[in-house]
Parts: sequence; structure tokens; C-alpha cells
Amino acid sequence: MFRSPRAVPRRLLAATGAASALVLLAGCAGGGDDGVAEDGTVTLTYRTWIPSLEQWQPIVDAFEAENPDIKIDFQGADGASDYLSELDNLILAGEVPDMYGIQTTSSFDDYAEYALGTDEFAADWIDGVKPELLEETTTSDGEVKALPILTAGSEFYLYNESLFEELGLELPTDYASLVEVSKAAQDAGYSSFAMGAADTWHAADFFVWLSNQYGDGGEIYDAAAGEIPWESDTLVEAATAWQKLFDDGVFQQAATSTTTYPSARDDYLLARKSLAMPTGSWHVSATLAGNAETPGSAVEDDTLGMAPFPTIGDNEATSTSGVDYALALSADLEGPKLEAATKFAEFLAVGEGQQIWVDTLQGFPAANDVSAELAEDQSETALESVQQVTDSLAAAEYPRKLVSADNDGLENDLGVVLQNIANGADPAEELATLNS
Amino acid sequence: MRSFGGRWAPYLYVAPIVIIAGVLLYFSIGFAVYASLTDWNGLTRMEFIGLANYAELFQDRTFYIALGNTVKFMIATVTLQAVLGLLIAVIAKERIPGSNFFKALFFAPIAMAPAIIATVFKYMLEANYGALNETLRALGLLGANETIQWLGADLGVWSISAINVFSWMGFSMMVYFAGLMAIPDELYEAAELDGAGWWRRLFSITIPSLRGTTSVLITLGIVGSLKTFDSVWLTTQGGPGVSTHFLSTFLYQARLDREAGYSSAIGIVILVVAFALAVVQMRLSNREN
Amino acid sequence: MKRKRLLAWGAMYGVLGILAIMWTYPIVVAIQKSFAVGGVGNYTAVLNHDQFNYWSAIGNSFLMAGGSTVVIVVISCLGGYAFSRMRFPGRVFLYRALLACLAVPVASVVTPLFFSINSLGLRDSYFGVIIPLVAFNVMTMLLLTKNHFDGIPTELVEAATIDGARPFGILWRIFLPLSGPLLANVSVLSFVYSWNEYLLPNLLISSPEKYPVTQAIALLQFERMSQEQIGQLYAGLILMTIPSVIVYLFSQRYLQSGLTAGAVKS
Repeated sequence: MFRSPRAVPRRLLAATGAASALVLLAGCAGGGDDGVAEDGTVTLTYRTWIPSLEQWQPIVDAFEAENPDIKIDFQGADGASDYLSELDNLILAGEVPDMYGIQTTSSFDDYAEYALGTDEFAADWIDGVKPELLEETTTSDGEVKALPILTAGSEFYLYNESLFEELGLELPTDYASLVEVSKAAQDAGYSSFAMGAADTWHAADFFVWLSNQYGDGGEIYDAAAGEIPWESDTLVEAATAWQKLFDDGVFQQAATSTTTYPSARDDYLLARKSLAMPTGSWHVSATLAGNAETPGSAVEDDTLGMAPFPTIGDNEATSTSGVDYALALSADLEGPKLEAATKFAEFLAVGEGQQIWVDTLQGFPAANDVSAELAEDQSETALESVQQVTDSLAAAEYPRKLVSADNDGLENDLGVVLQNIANGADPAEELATLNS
Repeated sequence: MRSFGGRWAPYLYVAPIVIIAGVLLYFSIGFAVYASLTDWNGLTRMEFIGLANYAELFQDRTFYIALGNTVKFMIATVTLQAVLGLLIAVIAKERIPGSNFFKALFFAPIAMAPAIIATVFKYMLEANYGALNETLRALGLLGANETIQWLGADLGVWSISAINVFSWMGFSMMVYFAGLMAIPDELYEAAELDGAGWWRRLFSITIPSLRGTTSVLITLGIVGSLKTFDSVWLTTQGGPGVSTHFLSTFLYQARLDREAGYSSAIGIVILVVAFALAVVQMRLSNREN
Repeated sequence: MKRKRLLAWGAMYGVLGILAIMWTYPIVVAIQKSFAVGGVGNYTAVLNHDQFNYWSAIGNSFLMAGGSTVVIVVISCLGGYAFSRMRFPGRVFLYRALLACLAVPVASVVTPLFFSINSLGLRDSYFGVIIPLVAFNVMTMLLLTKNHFDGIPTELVEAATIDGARPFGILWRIFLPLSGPLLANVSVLSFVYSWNEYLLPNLLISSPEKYPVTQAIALLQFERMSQEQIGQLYAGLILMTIPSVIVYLFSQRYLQSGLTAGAVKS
């Protein structure tokens, strides 16, 4: 019953849980079923935080049309953190979902423990996935345990082109013009760049991107790995530049109380109160005709665009990128269920499912030779935005997320430190608190 | 006292609550106590590390910030809710026309999901374009480019306290109102004959008679403060930095960071603090009687 | 005399008025947002949503909140009576041990909770939600009930005992009739607490047809993208509030009549 010799909590829970069950005089749940109905239909459970139901429907329709004898029991969640706590409980209850979404952050190894190695089901077609992405879904033991599906990168900004024109402003190209544009926007009664610095993930994403513009680049990953101290000169320099963005008014006042979603988007950009908002590549969809976000908002008739955030530091800025979403198959799968799950995995990783999902621009393709096919009648700005983001991601040199062996909460800890620095704390002192 | 079921009878009365609630909760607490002594990551890693989590906790600066915020919030909300709740209950008892409407209005926030209240307040208190600051600007109390950071590091705890008063003042009002109804009219009539005015009656009859109610409200306020989560998480998430963390959000954040053992230790500390405060509070109110 | 009374009324309305403005404002903002962009359409969109049926979600919520309320009221009256009026070994210890559970944060025990309900075979069932709802809410109600029972004069009990009444008879015929307002409060609170609970059903219910309103609304929140959907989210939240306000209004009527009954007897 216990696959893992370290399954202490499960055993502990089972022992004490069974005792309390007896006290409550109730029956026990029956064993699992093999997921195959009498008519030969296989049902697979799929737990994840994206796609949204809206994005999922066309994907599952296409898949079930091709595979009428496979049904997918899909369950989303209200965001990644909610999803993880649900997944934790299922895993502890010994009910690993047949297929589950997985993030390539510090906790990857923990969840990969319940996943089937890709060489056991994907060997024939895994070369359709960009090889460099597979490194991110490899455990510290060297096993590839999940299929990269979508990628995402930072740092970009979504801007209101109509408002830029109205105010007679040009898109910023360097730090000086960034400050200048911001000043002009404020004089005209608008906020400049609505930064969602209340989100620790966003502060961390931005800073990882920013820090690579100092020194030789890439030092922050060494700091995360514990190889160099966090208060190294390069990182302090980057943190000082981060602080200046707030002091110079590039970011709005009280930015550390603004969340990216919904606040920066709804209360600033879409409310036509700010020129732009910094965000990641996934949001380029807002520039497209027929997008779901702008109708009914104050920017309904405006043209939106997206561009890479201008260089702030000494080195030319390059975007960070990485696997945003990967799919894992349960290690418990066998027989007809494994066959069915393999079909779906192939469909989503390198097949039609990949194309359908990529077309929503929720993320960029992890498969070779796939690129988003846009609906017709796009504005020139939209086409250019998608092109710029695509090119920038293709040229990405550094990963978007930090990985730490001994601190799964590093991203949050870094975000907190960055918020303190933004509000005036000493950069070197604050960064030093991250040394473990 | 002759009783059905002999000397076992009392146990029959308390059995349902013990079986349905006590067993489930104590199993959960027991698990949390054990987990707090391990390096549990929320999944299968769970090695015994003794009191290391507690040792770390008592050296964690965030813990003291969270504890301080929880205490500030506790004092502010318990006091304000009791004073306002009693005031309205006393007025409502006079049965002036429309008092039922007012009671329903003050009760309404209790019936509203915490999610809606927190979202609305967050929107109102936003620094640049929130309704409150815009109103202050319109009244000329705030300059055009000035902001008051209601949810920032300095004011955040007090704004969150205000949200809680908005949500729960109606509860104090309801409980006080029910308590007021139990005070015999003769007491008031006698006092009136003695020529005692409204304030005199309030302080010499009403408030002393409601001592039991007040003590319950204080206990619930203490416990509620320690459990307060939604109104913090949905407005500031404990930020900026860790400046508005409460013990409960600190616990949740630790769990999100996959430090489940550490998070369990915070949960146990919350329980101990709540229990200690509740016992002290009950002792004090018993002594007064 | 009349002038003084008028002045008192003025002062009272003044206080109520100021507080009422402070309390109305956020409610008005919420209602106004619920009509944003889509207008009344936001409400019809929630009522005719394709992911969930609002009315069956209301039914589920009534079942869970109503079920747990009934259990809470019954067991906290029994327990409160025993702790207040009976003497038995372990009384103080047991009461303290139960009260210690007042502050258990749900977030800190999700794992053992999920596991208990799962091993009872009650996951994804109404019962599986009602039990923890009772567990997490009943201690507050026990505290309120015991405190109220403590305040009932001993003379009444003594008189009844001389008349030969048994403990249960005393609880039924003396304590409960004197506890109308309290029971109304306890019921309303248990109901509202359970009605607004999100974490527990989210942990334990997985079939959409068993979703209570909080989980159904979370679907709206999860999908929220366009400005119109944000309006729908607020509309959903308002729709979700209405039933508990109605329950409160009904209980108020009961509370008023229960009060006069209690007052005459004492």
C-alpha cells in the first residue's frame, strides 16, 4: 500500500484516523476502481489550476472527438495555491490524480515523487518538446518526471497606446525616458506604470529579470543556491535600482499595496488610470481583438500593446523565461488507463491540444514547430506585440524562477524583502536576511 | 436531585458534543502537535526534529510582528464592538420607530460573506483612486497628488480592525439586545421612582446586569481575533513586507511556503495563547462577581 | 417631559444616523458594483449560469447550514445544561477541554480533517461537511448557552424539583422557554457561519451538483476575466447574502415574541 518508505504522515493519519473512525461508528470507504467502465470507456481524473474552464472546453472537445472511448474528469481550482493544498490532501489520502498539473519551482521534486517517468510513456514523441525545457522538469535525481506544456517569461509591460498618443508620449527606451514618461503621465493626472508589487511573485519576477542587468548577469541564481551571499555588490546594486523605480515615480504610489491581478489590471490599466502595467508574457492576449478582458472597461475603444520592459541596468535587458505549466502522470497508472493517459499527454504536449491552448496565448508553446495562430483582423500594434514578445522569449537567457534546495518559500521571502526595500529599507541589510 | 440514568446521566448530556466535535477536533489538534515537532513539508517528508520549530518561531521577527498586530487588533475591535453594540442595543430597546430597520442594517454585514466585505473595503481604501481618498480630495482634506496609505505598513492594522468592526459590531448588538431583554423591568421602574436619570440607569443597572454578556463577548473577541483571516488575507495578504501579518495569515503563509511543520507550530501557539487568554479573562470576570 | 423625550429621540436618531451612513456606504458600493457594465443582466447571468445551478446551490447550502444549525442547537443546549447545572466528576476539565477548541484555525488542521472525513467514507457527502461545520462552530454556541443558563435563577429550578420534575423536564419546560432570544441568536449565528463557510466545503466536496453557494461563487471568481464577469461576481455575492438576511429577519420576529413570553414568566 505504501509506495514510499517515507510515507510517515499517511501512516500516522491512517492509524489515528482509523481509531477516530471507529469511535464515530461509520463505515470505511471502499477500494478504488480501475476507471474502466463496462462499455470500455476509460475515465481519467485530471487536477490542475489552469486551463480555465473557458480554455479547457475546446481542448477536451477536440480530444474526446478523436478518442470517444476516453472521458476526462477535469477539476480546476481557484488558483495555484488552492490547487496545491487540494493535491496535497489527495496524495496523502493515497488518491494521486491520474494526471495533474505541476510547477517547476522548488517543490517540483516533492510532487514528482508520485509521477511516472516520461521515458515510460513518452519516449516515442518527447523529442517534439523543446529539449532545454526538459531540464526544468528533471528531478535532482536526473529523472524527467513531467511534460513541459507552456512557457512564460518576464518582464514585459502592457500599455495603452491611445493614451500614450493622447499625451504625446513615446514608448520609453531607457531609464531616463522611463522617468520622463512617468513624470509626464503624473502631470496629466494619470499613474505611470501600475506595478503590482504587493504580489511577492511579481516583485521577485521583476527583480530576477532586473538583477541580470548587473555584473556578469545570473548572480541571483548562485545566491539562491547558497553559493554567494545575497548582499553581493551586484545584487545590492540591482536592489538599489529597484528602490529608485519607486522613488522616481516610475511605479505608482503605494505600489506595494497593489496586486497585479485584479488591482493593477482592473483599477489602473483597464480603468484608464494608468499608462501601462508591468506584467509577464501571458498577458499579451489583452492586446488582441476579441480578447475577453477589455470589453465593458474604460479602455474598450483604446489600442493596447505589449513590449519588453526597457533596460534599467548596465547590461542590455533580456527576458527571463521558463516552464509555466507541466503535466505529470500518476505513477500508479497501468493498463488501459495508462494507454489513455498517454494519448492525452501526447495530445496536450505535442498534438492538437498544444495548438488549441497556445492559441489562447495563456502561455507560449513548449513544443517545437508550434506557434500561436491568431484570429484575423488584428491591429498592427497587436501583431507587433505578439511578435516582440515571441522574439524576446526566444532570446531569453535566464530562467524566470529561482530554485532553492532548502527553502521552498524563497520566492515569497525575496518578495517580502523587495517590498521592504521599496518602502525605504536598506538594500544590503534586507538582502542579507535571505542568507540561510 | 433525582435523575434519569443515575450518575451517568450528565455524561449522556455532554456525550453528543464530545463525540461529534471533541473527537474530531482533538484528533486534528493531536496531529498538529505531532506535525509541529517535525520538518513536515505537507507531503511525505516528516522527520522528527523535536522543538526546533518552536525555537525558530520564537526568534522569527515576523512572529512578533504578527503577534503585536493580533493584540492591537484584539484590543481595538473588542472595545469598539462592545461600546457601539451596547449603544445601539440600548437605543433599540427604547423601541423608537425604525429601530428594526437599523438593527437589520447593522446585522447585514454578518450575513455578507467575508469575501465580499474584504473586496469592497480593499477597493474603497486603495491609495490612489480608492473611494475614501477620492472623497477626502473632493473635500479638500487631501492634496491632489497626496495619498493616505490606508492599507500600508502604518495604518493597515487599524483599517483591518475597522473592517472587523463593520462586520461584527452587529453581533455584539444582537447579543446585548437579547441580554437587555432579560433584565426585569421592575429594576428600571424602581430606579425611576428613585429619580435616577437615563445615564444613571445605564451605569448602575444596565451595564452591571450585562456583565456576563460582556464577558462572553470579550472571550469570543479574543478567540475571533486569533482566528481572523479573510479580512487580512483578502486586503493586504500581510504586506507590505510582513507589516500587517496576523498570526493566522503567518500560519497560512508558512503552509504556502511548504513549511507545514512550522505552520503547525504556529497553530499550536495560537491555541495556547487563546486558551490562556480565555482562562485569564474568565478568572477576572469571576472575581468581579 | 415631552420636550425632553423629543430631545432624547433626536440624540438617538443622531447616533443611529451617523452609524447608519458608515454602514450603508460599503453596502451601497457592493450593490453598485454588482450592476456595473452588465446591469440587471449580471444577476440573470448568475441565475442562468452554465457551470452551476444557483437554486440547487442555495438548496445545498440550506441543507448544510440548516443541518448543522439543528445539530448545534440541540447538542449545545444539552451540553450547556449539563455543564451549567449538573455536578459530575471531570465537569470543569471537560468544559475547559472543549472550550480550548474555540480557537482552532481551520487552516492549521486541513490535513487531519480531510483524512478523518475521508476515512469515515463521508467525503463528497452532505454529512461530511455538516460534521466539521458543527465541530468548528459548536464551541462558541456552547459558551453562549452555558453562560445564559448560568444566569437563570436557581429558585425556579428548586421549585420545579420539589414538584418532581426530572432534569430533562427542567431543561425542556423551564430553561428552554426562558431562552427564546438566546436560541434565536445561536441559530442565526450557526446558520450564518455555516452559510458563509468556504474552506470546509472546498476541502470536502468535489461534485459540482453538491456545491454550496460559496463554492459556486468561487467558480465565478475563478473565471473572472472581463469587466462584465466582475459585475457578475458581485451580483453572485449579493445573491448569496440575501437568504441569510431573510433568515435573520424571520428570527427577529421570533426573538421579539420569544422575549415577551420570557419576560412574563420571570
